[in-house]
Amino acid sequence: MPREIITIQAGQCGNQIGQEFWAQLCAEHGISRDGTLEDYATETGDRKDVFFYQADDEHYIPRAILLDLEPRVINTITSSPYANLYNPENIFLSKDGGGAGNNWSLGYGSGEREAEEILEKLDREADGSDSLEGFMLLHSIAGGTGSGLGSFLLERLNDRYPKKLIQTYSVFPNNEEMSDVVVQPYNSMLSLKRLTQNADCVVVLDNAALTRIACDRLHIPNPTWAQTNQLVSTVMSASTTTLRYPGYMNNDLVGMIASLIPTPKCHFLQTSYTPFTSDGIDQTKSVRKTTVLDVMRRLLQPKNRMVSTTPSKKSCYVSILNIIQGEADPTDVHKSLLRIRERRLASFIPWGPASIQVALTKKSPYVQTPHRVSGLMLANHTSIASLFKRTCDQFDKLRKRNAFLEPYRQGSLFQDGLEEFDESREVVQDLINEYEACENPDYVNYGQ
Amino acid sequence: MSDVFVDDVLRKITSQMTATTPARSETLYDENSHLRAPLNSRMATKSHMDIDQGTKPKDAPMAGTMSLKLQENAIIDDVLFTMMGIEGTYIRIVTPVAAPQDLDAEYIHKEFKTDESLDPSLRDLVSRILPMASIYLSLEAFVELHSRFEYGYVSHALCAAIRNLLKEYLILIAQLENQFRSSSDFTLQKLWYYIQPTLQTLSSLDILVGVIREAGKKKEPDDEIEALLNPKEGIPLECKGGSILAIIAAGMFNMSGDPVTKKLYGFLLNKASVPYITMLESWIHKGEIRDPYEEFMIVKSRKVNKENIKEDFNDAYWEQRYTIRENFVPSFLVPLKNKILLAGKYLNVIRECGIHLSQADRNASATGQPSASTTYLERNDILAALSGGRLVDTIEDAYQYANKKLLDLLLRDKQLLGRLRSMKRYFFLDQSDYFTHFLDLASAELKRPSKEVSLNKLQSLMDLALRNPSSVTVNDVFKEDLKVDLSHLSLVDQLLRIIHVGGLGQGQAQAQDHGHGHGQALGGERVDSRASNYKIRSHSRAGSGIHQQQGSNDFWHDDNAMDGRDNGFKGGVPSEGGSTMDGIAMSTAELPNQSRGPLAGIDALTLDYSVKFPLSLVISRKALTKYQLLFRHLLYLKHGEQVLCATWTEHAKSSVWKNASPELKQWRGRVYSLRARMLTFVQQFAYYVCSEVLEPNWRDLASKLAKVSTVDQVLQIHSDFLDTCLNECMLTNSKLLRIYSKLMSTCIRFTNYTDRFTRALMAMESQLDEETAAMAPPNQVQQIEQAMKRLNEFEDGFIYHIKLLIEALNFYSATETVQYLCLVVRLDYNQFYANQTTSSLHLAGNPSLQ
Repeated sequence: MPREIITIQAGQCGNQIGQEFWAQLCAEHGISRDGTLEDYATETGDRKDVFFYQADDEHYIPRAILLDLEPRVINTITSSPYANLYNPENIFLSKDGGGAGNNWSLGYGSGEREAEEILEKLDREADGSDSLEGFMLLHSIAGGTGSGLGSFLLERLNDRYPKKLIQTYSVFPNNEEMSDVVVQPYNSMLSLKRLTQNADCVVVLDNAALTRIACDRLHIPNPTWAQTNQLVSTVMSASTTTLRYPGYMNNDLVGMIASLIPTPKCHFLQTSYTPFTSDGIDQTKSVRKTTVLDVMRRLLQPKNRMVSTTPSKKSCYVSILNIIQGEADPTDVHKSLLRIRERRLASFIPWGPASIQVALTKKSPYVQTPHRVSGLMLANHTSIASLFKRTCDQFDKLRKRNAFLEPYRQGSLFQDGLEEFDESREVVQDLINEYEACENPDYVNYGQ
Repeated sequence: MSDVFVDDVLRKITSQMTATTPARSETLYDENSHLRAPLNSRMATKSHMDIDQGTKPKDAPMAGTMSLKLQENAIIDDVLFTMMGIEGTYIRIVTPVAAPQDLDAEYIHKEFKTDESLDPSLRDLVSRILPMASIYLSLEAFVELHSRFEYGYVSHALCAAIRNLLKEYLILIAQLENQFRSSSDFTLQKLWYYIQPTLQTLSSLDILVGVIREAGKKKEPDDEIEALLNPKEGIPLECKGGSILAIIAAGMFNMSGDPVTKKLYGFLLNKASVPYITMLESWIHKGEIRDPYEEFMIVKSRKVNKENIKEDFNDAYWEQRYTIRENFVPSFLVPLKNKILLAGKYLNVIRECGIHLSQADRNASATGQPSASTTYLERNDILAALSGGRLVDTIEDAYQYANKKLLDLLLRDKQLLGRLRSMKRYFFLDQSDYFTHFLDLASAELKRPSKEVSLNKLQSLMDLALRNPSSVTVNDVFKEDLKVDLSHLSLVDQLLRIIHVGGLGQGQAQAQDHGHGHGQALGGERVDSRASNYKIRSHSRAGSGIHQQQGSNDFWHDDNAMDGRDNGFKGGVPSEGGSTMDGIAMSTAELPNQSRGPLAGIDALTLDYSVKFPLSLVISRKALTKYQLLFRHLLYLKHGEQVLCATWTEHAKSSVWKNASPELKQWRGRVYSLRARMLTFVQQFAYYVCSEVLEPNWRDLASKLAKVSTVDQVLQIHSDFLDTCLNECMLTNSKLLRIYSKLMSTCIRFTNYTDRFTRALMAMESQLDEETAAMAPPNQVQQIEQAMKRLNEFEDGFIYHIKLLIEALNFYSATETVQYLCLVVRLDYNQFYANQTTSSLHLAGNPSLQ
């Protein structure tokens, strides 16, 4: 009944993140692995039906659609303890099971082929909700399925549900070191075009930064996928707390996004989270005193940011939303805001009013953390452009040599040539320019 | 038997007696007359007196003619009778010349006249004894008059005590007479000696009685009209009940140097206070007033009953149902009077709830209470006279007990905190998911004019939202009490009216005293005559500006004001030529009767909450109105946020906006940026209200309530909480409120223009292309120009007002509450507005805001 959100997880990365995300949500709401409510989950004050619905037998079922072109990850899920959580009808596996082979074009192509079945699942899920607020797409943009199939979905969703919000949690590749997937820049570029044009809000997660945080903040030398995915799921669950634990404000997605994204094009958000406490990795850390000011200050530190960007001197925040969980004293917020302003810890856009919004929310009563207060920052920062620039540079290098283009030509989009690549490159360049313009006081008049 | 007959008989007898023997002896009395009325011989009648004014009975010999011994005997005999108030042969009563009209006046201090011929030494002694007789008569008269039923229980008790004393006095006389008859050497001197102590007692009594009489007399209304309006009914309060006790106690206090008198007064106080103490105990132990003669210090108003608490704005039940008769509280109870009032009042509330008060747990609670009597040491001797000094302890215990009982009732049985928490949920939207849902469900209904909105439909939609099993409200046991309602005034209008009514009464002082003034204002809101009176004045004052006003007033609802009402904005925005001073003057001159267009459902929407009796003491109609005001304030913000978000969705999702041609990007950017500013304003304001006003104050309230020890504190804390919230939400300052309402209405108007801006953008798009431009409808260019103009107006208006608001907040933070500074920080966190050149507007110093 509330503003429901349907989660679509596409590809290997998307499904792995999704798996962690649902495990986290279940833990926070006291839902057992098979969807029944735990006996201890008697506390009220949460809304489970934003992300779950109840089957006839009272089981909670995630509003999730699992998509993949190869069975490995899905099989892991269906043989995990959470196998019975999901609605089996919502799991889509490509019939040939060959996967996308890290080829955007293949992923996009199989999307086109299987569109009917996938959209049928989406429609069914959408019909099952009373006032659907939007979709949440979990994917990576480097591989084949998440980026290709994901891109296809973004396009189709916009046509099919023109008024629904589309938020994505997009994992960007670690473009600081050479990846095993050489065509990664192509995939990223093609996906970025769709993210720019067809998504309303993209939460950028960067594998480089995730690995760095796991190493530096959690002292794990070589973090596994499971561990970095857990970081992502923590961020995702934190950014949806205001929807799941209703408070005074931010009880709907649009309210949160609208304030973060003043100009629709600049809709790429960065996140910070502090302090991290995930299973198995939190024990190494000593418990620190956490106050609202501490949390808010740490959130502004680049080392806690889950995106590796290289901010320039002019980089600034377009907007900030802090979601503080736990027993925070509301009067501390004002003090913290003043302190941050005094110390100039954050610089803001010069062309309009901007502020740090602080939403205070409850913490799940079922998940014990050693910290009194934890916080998530969703920020729209112009330095994100540097990430796109890096992608562009890598793309340009490949594109100049016309390397590895052959597999793409098989896709329907590329039958008549490779203009799609250049078009995407242009769109991303526009985006970079827009973000850079955003740093100037006369941005309002930008475009003349 | 008729008087004439008696007189006849008497005259016969006396004449016989005096004829036979000059000295009196019992044997000489006529047996019959003696049996019938032994003292008849001494009766002086009016007719008799009229005839022999100033002379003795015809046949009595002149005293001076007798021997000294006989003279003495005769005069002792006479004196003994006179002391009982009966005229003697040689001592006659002198009737006062002017007879006052008072009932007991003829008995007051009668003069006696002694036979002139009496021996001078005897005469001297007699003249010293005689006041005793007049005192006796006066006391007797007092007792007779004041034992009438209408004088009340305390008077009766006092009279009974005095009568006892008089009885002893009569016994003394009987003893003296016996002495006189039996011993031959009983002299007048001896008699004088014997009556000494009694004389003192009686004269002290007389002084007291005099004071009581005086107190009863004083009450003459100065004003004739007043006298006509309040004809004297019954016995003045000053000479009965508590006042009597007060007089006695005062006497006791004044005479504390005189142990005998003090003891006497103590005795009287003890006796007289018995009925009063009974009343007091019934009040403090049962909460009942048994006071048929209006003697008690606490009075119950019949007009106020618990049924009209729900409609009453002024907490009348609590404040006015039981009141202290301020001037008639016995002085020794003054320090305790509030406790007495509260003890009974609390019990009364409990009784009204139908809860039986058992004696058992009263005793349990009474034990172990520390005595507070030490506080009242200086009055101890007075209190000691009352029920053996236990009174203070009793009152203290009763108060503690009643207080604890009611506090328990409110906090535990009636779950006050739970109630408040649920009110917070519904009115402050602290878990607003239900409300978002409700707004979603009811959005169509709420867009209609409020007169066409079906309240039943809204109520059922609200119930649907509340009972949604996934909503957090589903477990709230009080959700049944929530009702949807529609107000006939918009929030700002209502607030301005309230502020204004408060202002009318208080003049300029109002600014300093908002919390208080507000309370009054809420009450005053019902006084429609005052409000409408003001309206008339306001119209005449507005004078020539009516036209402008009409324009600027229409900020709220002009969905239909698509075109043609160009001046609709000018009131708010300083036009190019006009100075900003005009703008300020205009916005301040604007008057409460703002919106004349039909009120939309969303603006009329409010909530109501039904509260049952004992809790309605705390959550009274007045408190509920404040809750409603806060709710509507939040609702307005939420609504603003929602429509701005809808505009955002339009901007973000529709292809017209998304794929605008590069040439139009600048225009689009301006629309975006204006929307972003508005959204920032609305959201930051909402954040401020929620997390810097409501939540901290609520926590404060909750922690105070946890420590609270009296019910009145609960009331006080709760009403302080609401007043603080209202004040910090800047709902109590008409200047701030007006600027705020301008801003909000600008935002909402802007969202109403979203569609037109979209169409304008499409038109511009087609103008870019020469081909389509040629085919475009002729009014297209005009349409575009219109949109451009409108956008300029919105931009100017918003910037102007938000700067005004920030300045005003800075200014008022000094006088109203520093909390405003928090809002300033939030509204302009990156100093965007502060850094903007102010050349476009000169806020000519803050005084202009005044």
